[in-house]
Amino acid sequence: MPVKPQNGTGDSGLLVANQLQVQGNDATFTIVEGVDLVIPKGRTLGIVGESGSGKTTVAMGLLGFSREGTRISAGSVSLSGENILSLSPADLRARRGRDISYVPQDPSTGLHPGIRIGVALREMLSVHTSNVENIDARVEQVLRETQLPTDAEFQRRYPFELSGGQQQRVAIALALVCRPSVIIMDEPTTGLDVTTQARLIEVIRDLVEVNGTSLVYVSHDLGVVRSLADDVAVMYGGRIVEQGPVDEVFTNPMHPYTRGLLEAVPRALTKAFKPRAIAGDAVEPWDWPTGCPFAPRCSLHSAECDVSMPAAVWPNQSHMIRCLNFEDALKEKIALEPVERKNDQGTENAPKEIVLTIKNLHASYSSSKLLKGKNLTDAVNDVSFSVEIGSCLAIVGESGSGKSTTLRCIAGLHEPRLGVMEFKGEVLSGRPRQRHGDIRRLVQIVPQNPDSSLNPKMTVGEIIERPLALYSRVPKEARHQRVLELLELVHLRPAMGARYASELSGGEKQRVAIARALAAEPSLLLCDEVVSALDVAVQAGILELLEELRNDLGMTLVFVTHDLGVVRSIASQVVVMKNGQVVETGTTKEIFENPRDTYTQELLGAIPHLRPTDYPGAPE
Amino acid sequence: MSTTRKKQSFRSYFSVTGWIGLSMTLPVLLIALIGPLVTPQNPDDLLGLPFGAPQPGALFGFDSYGRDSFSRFLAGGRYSLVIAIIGYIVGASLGLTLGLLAAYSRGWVDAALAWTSEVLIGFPALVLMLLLVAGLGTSFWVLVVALASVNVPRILRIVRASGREVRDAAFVEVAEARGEPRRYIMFKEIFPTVLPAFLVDAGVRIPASILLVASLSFLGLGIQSPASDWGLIISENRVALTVQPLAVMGPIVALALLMIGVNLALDGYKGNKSSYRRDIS
Repeated sequence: MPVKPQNGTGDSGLLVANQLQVQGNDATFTIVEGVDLVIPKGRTLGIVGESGSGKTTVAMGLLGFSREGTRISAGSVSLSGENILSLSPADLRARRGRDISYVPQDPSTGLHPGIRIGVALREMLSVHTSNVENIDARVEQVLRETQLPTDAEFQRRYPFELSGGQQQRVAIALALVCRPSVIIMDEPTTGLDVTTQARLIEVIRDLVEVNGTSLVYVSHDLGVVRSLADDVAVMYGGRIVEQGPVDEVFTNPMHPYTRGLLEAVPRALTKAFKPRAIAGDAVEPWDWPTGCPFAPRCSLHSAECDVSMPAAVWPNQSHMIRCLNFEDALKEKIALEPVERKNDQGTENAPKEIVLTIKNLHASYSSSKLLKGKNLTDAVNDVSFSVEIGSCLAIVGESGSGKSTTLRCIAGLHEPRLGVMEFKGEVLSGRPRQRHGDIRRLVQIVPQNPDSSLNPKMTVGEIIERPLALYSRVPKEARHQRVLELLELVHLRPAMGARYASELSGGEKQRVAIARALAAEPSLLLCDEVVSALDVAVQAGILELLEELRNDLGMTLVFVTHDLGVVRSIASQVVVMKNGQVVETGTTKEIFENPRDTYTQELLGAIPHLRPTDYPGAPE
Repeated sequence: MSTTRKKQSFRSYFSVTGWIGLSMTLPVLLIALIGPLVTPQNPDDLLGLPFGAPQPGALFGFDSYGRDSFSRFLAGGRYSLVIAIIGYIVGASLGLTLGLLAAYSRGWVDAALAWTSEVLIGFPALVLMLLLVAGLGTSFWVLVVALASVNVPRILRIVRASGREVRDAAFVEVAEARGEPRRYIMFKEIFPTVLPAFLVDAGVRIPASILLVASLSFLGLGIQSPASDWGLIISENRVALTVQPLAVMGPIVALALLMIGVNLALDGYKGNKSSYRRDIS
């Protein structure tokens, strides 16, 4: 299939990938295959997909780079008409940074910890240009462009002396400083706060517009891609399954995977929308099916799908998909439209029993024992709220707002300095060992990072079994039986009991962490950013699970998150926090439809919108 | 997971190098433990010329006093080895417990333990042992205590450093929030994660303990002549190394095999699998 012009104007494209393929060194597995991309001058291409879909591999392949153990085994990448894959290593090095540059995903590892940022920027310039006089002026200019301070003091700083948002700006400044014609960004805003992210996206958008730079933007966040990109390529199982202009693909998705992905994104601003998970697990490069990689999870799966990868078809000039049954897909009504939800209504009923009350909570961190109790700024400052039985309360805020500290106080992981916590009418002590047995059992926490929440030396079965052994003295065989039931409850196969955490995907780890908490049969489940590290499709699955547990087991949830879309789809009550204080409390409906506090309004305004109709007041 | 669980195969506990190490270690241990019971001659009797050549009934010839070298080799392993092993075990149990305690408690407990162990590590191992032996004599338990006091701070430091890495991990916090007892968190959550570091350390620490005890004996501060001991045998007969090498060869080879073997065996130890694990493999 020849490469079709992407924008209908017949531009040949500044950066063109043709049938790019990346394999493991021994050719036993293929990571990406048959990737055709055309990026015209001044346009932005978004590459979206779940983790493991090959989007980062493609991004690096566009620089002629492949990770250790892999190689670019076929295809070509041409930059301004020149195939960079056939360049000598020295020529390739000279192009990178000057003509095409890269912004890595994690700025804390992407910047050299021992090099001052001014030095790093100057080095980039001196390596690539001979014009030495202008270096200082250029460095200042690029710092201004990325909205960073330009003074000498700032330039003398090391990366660890910067905030996450500033680090990412420096990484972008490094990529920009030589004025390359193409910049490739790999998830540059992942891990930043919404408002920080919104500001950074604004910076990126301006830079691209002013300089006429072409941008490749890799992200799993569909909202960000929607707000930034002109074209989008959706990847699954190492292939591009759908590609076209962003408005076209997001309003008229044709591939069943794209449609599933769009249905999985929680919407903060749509009145009633419930994210839906895509059934099944993402495929790993080593067990790709011979046919369409999405076939095993696809509702429109037919026999021909398993024969070979479907060829690209062009329903119109600019829109490409690889699906045999897409016409059937279009017949199915996609649930992008509002669906009846009970969260927004449920709380308007008669007041229910209060299960948890927080009164005037203060908590602080002290770096030194000597300072204990003196001159402290409170991480949590006079926080009060209460939680109704069977409801889901979300605590929202940016990093440093004190939302996690509040949750840690309730869990007994942080001793409050002042204030009272009451659970079912009894005072909750700040230390778990001082709480009596039943309270310890009834309050369980699911921690933030699934990678460190499971002991790497214990199997899933042992991990889930432990709370059973601790809280109830049932015999070993009965506990094994209960472990199996719990695995089933969180939708994991019984065989998972034998795995170690390192053998699980992020979503599976989070399910195990939830199963461990459920093993105690808690009545209050504390969730600390439980979905923020997960892909949208996986995230929707976890949210569905939590909703299910709340409805079926009558559990009360306190949910800490920075993602307002997640809040909208799961919470019935919202507490908005900023700088350790509560700025607004209310039902989800009130907060989202009629935010009173300016900070809440700012937060809501910073969310990247998935569809034009997601704007408040947009026609429906 | 079925309810019938298969037993883990014996072979899977060690890797190939682990088994090589074991095959070097076990014969030496056997000689050291059973040797004193099966000496062909009385190891203390003067039976031939000093440094006399091998002859029927005296496989390794005679030592500096004309005693049977083979019998003295068989009889000379047990005492030092038992001291080394008990000294290591005592040191390891204390070092492990205190190391986990330091890693888990933080605060002044950690500071006190870390500081004390740094001070003790400041003394070279042999100097510390000589000091204790000089003050308290060369009895069995003095040697055990001296060796343990060398091992405790070093093991404590390894365990503490490795334990601190997981001290703040979410799975430890979840266990705390669950209200788990201190000892559960220390030994069931943190200990398995420090085990690899602990075993690597044991791989050099046990041979080093054997060497330390042998060195003390070599310096004449272990068991006293006429009793036989490998370190002492080497010390007594090293002057005739060129004339009668067989008088020292037994202890030298045995000690070398033991030290290399223990190291390989512990390197190749893979541990036991969880009961959940056994069902699928």
